[in-house]
Amino acid sequence: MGQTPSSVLDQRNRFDFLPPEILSGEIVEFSDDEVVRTRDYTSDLPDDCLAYVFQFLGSGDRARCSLVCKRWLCVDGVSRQRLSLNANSEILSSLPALFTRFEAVTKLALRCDRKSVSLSDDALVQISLHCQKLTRLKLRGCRDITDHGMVSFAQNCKTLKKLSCGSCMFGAKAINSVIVHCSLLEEISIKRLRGVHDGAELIGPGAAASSSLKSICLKELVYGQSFESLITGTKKLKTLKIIRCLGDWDKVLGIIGNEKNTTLIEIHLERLQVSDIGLTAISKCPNVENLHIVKAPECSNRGLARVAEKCSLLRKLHIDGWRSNRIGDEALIAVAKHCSNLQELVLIGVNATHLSLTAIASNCPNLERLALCGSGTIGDAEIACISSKCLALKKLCIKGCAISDIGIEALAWGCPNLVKIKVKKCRGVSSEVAGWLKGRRGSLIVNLDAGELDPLDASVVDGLMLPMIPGQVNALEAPPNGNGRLGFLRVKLGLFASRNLVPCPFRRWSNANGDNSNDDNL
Amino acid sequence: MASSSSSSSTQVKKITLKAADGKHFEVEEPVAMEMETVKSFFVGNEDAMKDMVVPLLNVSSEHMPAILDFYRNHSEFRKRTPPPPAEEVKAFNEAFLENKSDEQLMEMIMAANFLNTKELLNFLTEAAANRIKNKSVEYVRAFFGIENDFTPEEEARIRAENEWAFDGLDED
Repeated sequence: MGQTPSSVLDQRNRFDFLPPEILSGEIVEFSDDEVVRTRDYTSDLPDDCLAYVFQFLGSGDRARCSLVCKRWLCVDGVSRQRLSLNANSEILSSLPALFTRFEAVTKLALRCDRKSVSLSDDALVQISLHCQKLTRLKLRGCRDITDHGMVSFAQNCKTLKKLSCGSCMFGAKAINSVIVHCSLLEEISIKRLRGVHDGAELIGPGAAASSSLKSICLKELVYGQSFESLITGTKKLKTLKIIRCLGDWDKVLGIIGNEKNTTLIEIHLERLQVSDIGLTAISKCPNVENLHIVKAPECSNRGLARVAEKCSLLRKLHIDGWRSNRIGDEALIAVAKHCSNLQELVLIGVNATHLSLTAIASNCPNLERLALCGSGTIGDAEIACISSKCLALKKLCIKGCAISDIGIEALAWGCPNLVKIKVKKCRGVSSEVAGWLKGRRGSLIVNLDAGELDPLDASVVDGLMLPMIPGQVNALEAPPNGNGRLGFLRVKLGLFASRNLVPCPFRRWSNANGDNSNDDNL
Repeated sequence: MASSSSSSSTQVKKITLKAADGKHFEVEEPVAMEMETVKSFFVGNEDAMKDMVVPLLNVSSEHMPAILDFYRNHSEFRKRTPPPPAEEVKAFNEAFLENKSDEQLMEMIMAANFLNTKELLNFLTEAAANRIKNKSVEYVRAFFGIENDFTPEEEARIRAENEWAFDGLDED
């Protein structure tokens, strides 16, 4: 809604308005105490002003407003830019009316549920003729749209900037036509596209790839590799997300790494066949600021250390080690050494100890957000070290770690900028200490569940313990001196005699969180 | 228009505004200039500044104190360093809307629109939107005093069309 109300006001007429006393009309009272106004209060509001009110309403409320009167119907229709439609095949006959009414739509979502037949090529082509200024299109479950429909769409809506499709059946030809015709395309997001087959047409760089395309996101594709030439051919790619796609991604990353001027800033790799070879390739992209390595069990300390050495601009790092124990202190110490810009660190199922956390706390003065989840090696000593050294820290999340009240107490005196702390599934932490911490630090938001553990979680976790990998054991073995923490734990849990046993039993409950997505940690 | 009520020669210049019912309001110049309408009155006409009374025929004197209060507080919020906490602004805004009837709100929206101040208009239109959120069509009609000018057939057709649109926002 770019319009300002002033645009409708004619400066000359502004002083000619009638005073409100005359405008306001009478109020007629009915016997049942119902007050009915006899004249429309909105008739004096310019359309833009009414549209202003509408912009604060969601689509449900807007739908109701459209039924109020003819003027409102019209104002709502022409001011609606974002529209989400049920993309059932029966919508076809309503399309002319819908798009005459919503003539200004620039962001369109078409969703079809699993049980219905989706709209077809004809409908999509009709829409594309009505909405030639579309900037965003989102398709979900539109299974009856084919390459043919998408090709026509791309030819009609050349100003498209963002395409997102999920669970559709069209294929490479459709995507290629969008990339060729929509030369302003900036973002493409493809999830479960079933029409992309092995050995079929490749998805290649088109006009968009050489100029405007900045973000590619691929999710759950069986033949994700068909996008190889698009990924490697996009000149100004800034964001690359590949999530659960089959294929050998080391190769694709290798090609990117060998480019001279890679512009990549953000890389997400999740559940992929990618190893240290791929990470080494990423280390050749010097602009990378945001890196997520999630559940890629072949990635190890060596690869991540290489990235840390070369990508000194790194600001956000998320690692879900998936309990493979291949990424730990060694890589994190390298991160501490080289990436002093680090602002956000998320470690899930990574057995980091105070050795690496001390290094990070000391060398990354800008660290504002830290999440430590499902890690058996993170205990009170680690929290104490964070508390005393992470001066910039604003948000801290600890889930399923072997900490106790002592660790939480340590936070009462440290991290002067801490705004929010979340502690979940830490059995050693009592609810009393949360109240105590709140008392100590008034403005701090403390979010704590008192270590309840879902028995189901525990049983699932039992089967997931992975063997330790030689060379990694050092990180888990006893630190030089068994400090107060160990004694405390012995009392608290009454189980352990030496620290190198600690990770295993802890893992029982620490791993309950292993599958959490990174995003809800901070 | 020659009534000279802004004769005070203190540092802060005052501008006299005349509400719809003829009542005069003396307002500090920066506060008055928050209103684009008043500002545009003086653009290219700086000589008129001293004695001019600005007629605001579309704003009743009933709403002037509240509106001026809004400008004073919000311009102070904007200038303050560090910026005021969100709670303070929220508390002021809530108090501002408290005890305002729907009718008064509508009149103030018209006033804000006439005065051409985006901040106040934004604030009031959002408040109006909040009052009609999750309300029935009939309620909204009564709220604004609008007569239903649809035939039953037309209304049924629009209802059918609306069925195609999903409720809930579609953010990406």
